[in-house]
Amino acid sequence: MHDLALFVKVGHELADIGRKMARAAFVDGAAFQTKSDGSPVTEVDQAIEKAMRKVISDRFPEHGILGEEYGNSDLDSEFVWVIDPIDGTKSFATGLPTFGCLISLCHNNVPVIGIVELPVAEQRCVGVVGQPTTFNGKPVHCRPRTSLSECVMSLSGPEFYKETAPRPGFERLWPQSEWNVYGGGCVAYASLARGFVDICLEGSNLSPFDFCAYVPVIEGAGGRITDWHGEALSLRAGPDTRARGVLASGDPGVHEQALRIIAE
Amino acid sequence: MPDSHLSVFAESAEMMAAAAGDLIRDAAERPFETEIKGDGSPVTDVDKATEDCIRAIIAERHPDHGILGEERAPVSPDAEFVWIIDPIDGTLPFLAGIPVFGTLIALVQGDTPLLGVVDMPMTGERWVGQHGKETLRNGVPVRTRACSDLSSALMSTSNQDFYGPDDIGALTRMKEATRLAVYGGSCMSYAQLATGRIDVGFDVQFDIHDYLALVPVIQGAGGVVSDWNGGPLGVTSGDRFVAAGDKRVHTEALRVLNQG
Repeated sequence: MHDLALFVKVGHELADIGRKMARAAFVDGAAFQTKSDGSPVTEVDQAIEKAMRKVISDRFPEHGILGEEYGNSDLDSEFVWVIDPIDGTKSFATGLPTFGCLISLCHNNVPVIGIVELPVAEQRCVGVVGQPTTFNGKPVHCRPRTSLSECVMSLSGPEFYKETAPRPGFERLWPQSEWNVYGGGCVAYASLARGFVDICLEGSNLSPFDFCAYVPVIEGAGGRITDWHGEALSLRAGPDTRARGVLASGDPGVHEQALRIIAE
Repeated sequence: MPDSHLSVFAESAEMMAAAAGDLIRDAAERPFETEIKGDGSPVTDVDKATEDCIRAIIAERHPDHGILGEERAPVSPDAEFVWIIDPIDGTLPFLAGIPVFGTLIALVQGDTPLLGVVDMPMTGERWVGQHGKETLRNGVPVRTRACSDLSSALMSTSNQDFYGPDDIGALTRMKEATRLAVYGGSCMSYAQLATGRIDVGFDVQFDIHDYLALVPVIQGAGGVVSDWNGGPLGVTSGDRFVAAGDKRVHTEALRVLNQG
């Protein structure tokens, strides 16, 4: 597939840009303040996405780009970069380190590279199709679990699960884990790949930039990631590219159990 | 008490925080053993090792002081000065590799919290609050932000699963009364409240190890803290905590929390 190693290298360059710019605004910038409407944060999001888009279009003018802040271009290209410059904007605005940059490359709609860049902790999780997922350069693996009752489950926040009708699997699933953690955002997916978290449940009405990066990261660590119906996640997941919810599990058997509970 | 004594105590607390941070950062890189305590909460060997390390510094520098730690038996709880330590506040995020966990160190004289340190090992941030002084974040003064009413406030709470049937209504009312909510921030969200990024925070099942260090940090930044009845927080307070950056929001929050 063309030059996957080159694409990964450029993915790292994009993540470097995200790390530098997000840290400048978050950690080093003592003057960083957020108005109650969060507007300066949006400026940071936009500036990061703009810088990343420039690198992509300079290096690969034939590739498409889908970003959270500036929409899409050439989504019918063989290769499309999918970017969320700051996933977890609320965390960013409130000074919590549970935000990150999500960068993915899709080949014919299938995510083949995924990068979860965590600027504050200076951690980076990279998944490449057919390769073991790495965390700060070292291979990582999900941990096995025999049942849901042994699982640490990551959930965004209770209100994210109340938008779909009928009541989604969230309310059936969350009491069955050993413990739940809230608000971990994209950090929890990196933790799942490292074997610290067993299930990530997120919904609903998600866009490709919310989940494409996770697919190679989780699969390359031995886990499973699908929508709430067990369907593969891709650039064209579901009508108008949105997915109704994401379920990621470190243990494939646990994934099947969780899907059954959601479907009940 | 002379100011110089408090400065020496603050220096000790920062030594403890630095030593704890080194241990925790190192341990966070690899899996660790977890067991379940009598109250059903998890604890790791890292919690215990970190508390032991802090206790050793106290014993060496302040042998006449008492210690109440989350993981080990009390030492001289009736001493004039007592240290209250939570080696890892946010054990669940720690287990899950989510970097909002931190070390909390408080010093009380009688029932009054004199000193509080919130150390975040994964983000390299440390807040130090001293009774009657400005709170510092990495050596620079911080202030809470003004917020005129609850409906424009950004709220924070740790984990909705800690709310029992009697409390869940209070959480629901607060979510409805505020503009935005963040979850799972642990001690970090209270430190950010002191820094003017969050307007109101509240929790249940909070014990003295969880909140006494927060009291001087938030008060020294201009914020208001109390139990859910508006009472001051000391070593014998209950398990409910509410903090706000602006007194007006604190007053409104007390009313909403207690409506049920």
